[in-house]
Amino acid sequence: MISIQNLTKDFGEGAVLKNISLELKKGTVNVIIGPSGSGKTTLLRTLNHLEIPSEGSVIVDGVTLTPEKKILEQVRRNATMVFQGFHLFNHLSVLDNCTIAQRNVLKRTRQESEDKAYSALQKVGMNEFANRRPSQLSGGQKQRVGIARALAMDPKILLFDEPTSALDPEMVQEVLNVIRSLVTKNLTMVLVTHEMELARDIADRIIFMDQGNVVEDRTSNTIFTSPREARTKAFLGQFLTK
Amino acid sequence: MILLASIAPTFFKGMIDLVIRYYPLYLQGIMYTLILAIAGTLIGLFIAFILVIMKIQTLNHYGNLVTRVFKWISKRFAEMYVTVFRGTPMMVQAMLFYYGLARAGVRMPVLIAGLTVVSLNTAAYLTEILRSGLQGLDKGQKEAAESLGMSTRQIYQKILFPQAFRNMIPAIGNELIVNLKDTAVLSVIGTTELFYMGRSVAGAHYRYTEAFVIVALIYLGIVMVAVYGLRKLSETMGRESTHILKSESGDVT
Repeated sequence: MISIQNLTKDFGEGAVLKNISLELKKGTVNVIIGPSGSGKTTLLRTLNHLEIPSEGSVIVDGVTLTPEKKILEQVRRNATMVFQGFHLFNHLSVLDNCTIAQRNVLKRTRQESEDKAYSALQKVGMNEFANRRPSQLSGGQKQRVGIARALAMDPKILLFDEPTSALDPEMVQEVLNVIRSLVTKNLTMVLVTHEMELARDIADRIIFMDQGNVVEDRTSNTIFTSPREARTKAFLGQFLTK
Repeated sequence: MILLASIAPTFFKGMIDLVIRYYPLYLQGIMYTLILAIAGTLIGLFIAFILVIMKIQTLNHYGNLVTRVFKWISKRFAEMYVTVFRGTPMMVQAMLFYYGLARAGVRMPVLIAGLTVVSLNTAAYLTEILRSGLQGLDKGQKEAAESLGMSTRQIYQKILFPQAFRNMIPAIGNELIVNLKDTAVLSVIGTTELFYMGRSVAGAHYRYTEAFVIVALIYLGIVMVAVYGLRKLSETMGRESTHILKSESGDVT
């Protein structure tokens, strides 16, 4: 589904990603963990070219990403992203946040896009807030709308960039529950998160990164019980189970 | 004090006399000033939208050569336009435009010439206002739209401009107020706006003080009305941004 080949990203002050190669299978939940500054968010952002790699390539569903507009637009509509800072469109209602890309990118009719938006909002428990503005929502509600906005595009891939990091502790759970409910065989998910319990619960695969490298790449059960690398063991610490 | 008291009745009588005799000229001046300022600001805004798109383009090595060359030329043109129009007085621009065209054999009606100069001049200032408005938006707004597959045109048209425009309404209002007063400089090419009319009335009777006190009071009145209107507009927009609104989809809530 997603093939990352010899990926390097350098912002000019040393490489943030160092020659990374990964294959992410269709319908799997892939969680990227690691300390701050390890390059996990940069890696995620290269998957729909919000960051353009310095070297190497990303192939999504058979399409090699290039900065060509047509290719980017084609890939991005199938690989939508949920952001740490929500980034809801502040001038639009919740409903319009969920329909604007459907109508403009997928060329769905107003009725179709609204039906799809309500269905997505229902999934995240926000359909009653359809006519509110982002400024009238709590952080957790904003993130649930962010997820609904991405879901309404019927993506094949859903990318999450630390979706709970900007939330108050009591709002984290509502978003985590929504993410848990999204796991299906039809959707490939890539999550960057510090929520180890979530990773343990839903991940088919956990990728541990440090200093721009993939240190360990394992199924969740094994990484939490018997990490191979000392660095992984040190990072996971209290989350390790015996 | 005694001198002032003795002059005042004559002065005010003179002013009233001028108003009664020449109010059609003042009215025409007011009308031309309003046309030049309002239409000039709106046309300038339209031009500024085009210029700012040209100016904020990112030059990179992607795309074909023709597109890249076109991007480079349009970006440099917009930058030069803003530099030239902000770097020279509108009075000089008016003289060059009107008499330059006349020398080339083009005789343009003064109102049209005046309106063109105000519009072109305003466009340069509004381009910078728009640019800072766009750049002041959270970078995440653009990224979120990009990540949903929206095209650059859709992102600007549907996401960025509507938000930037709302933030810029006070600055655009200021530009309108500046134009209400600065259109006075167009009298140098014979545009019969308020200042020109005031000078004509003053010259007819050598009553410069009375004639220009009237002109000053009219400008002040127009600007006060404009400030009030703009404040009401800002308040309405402010309310809209914090209250539930008619959604784009047509639902009224």
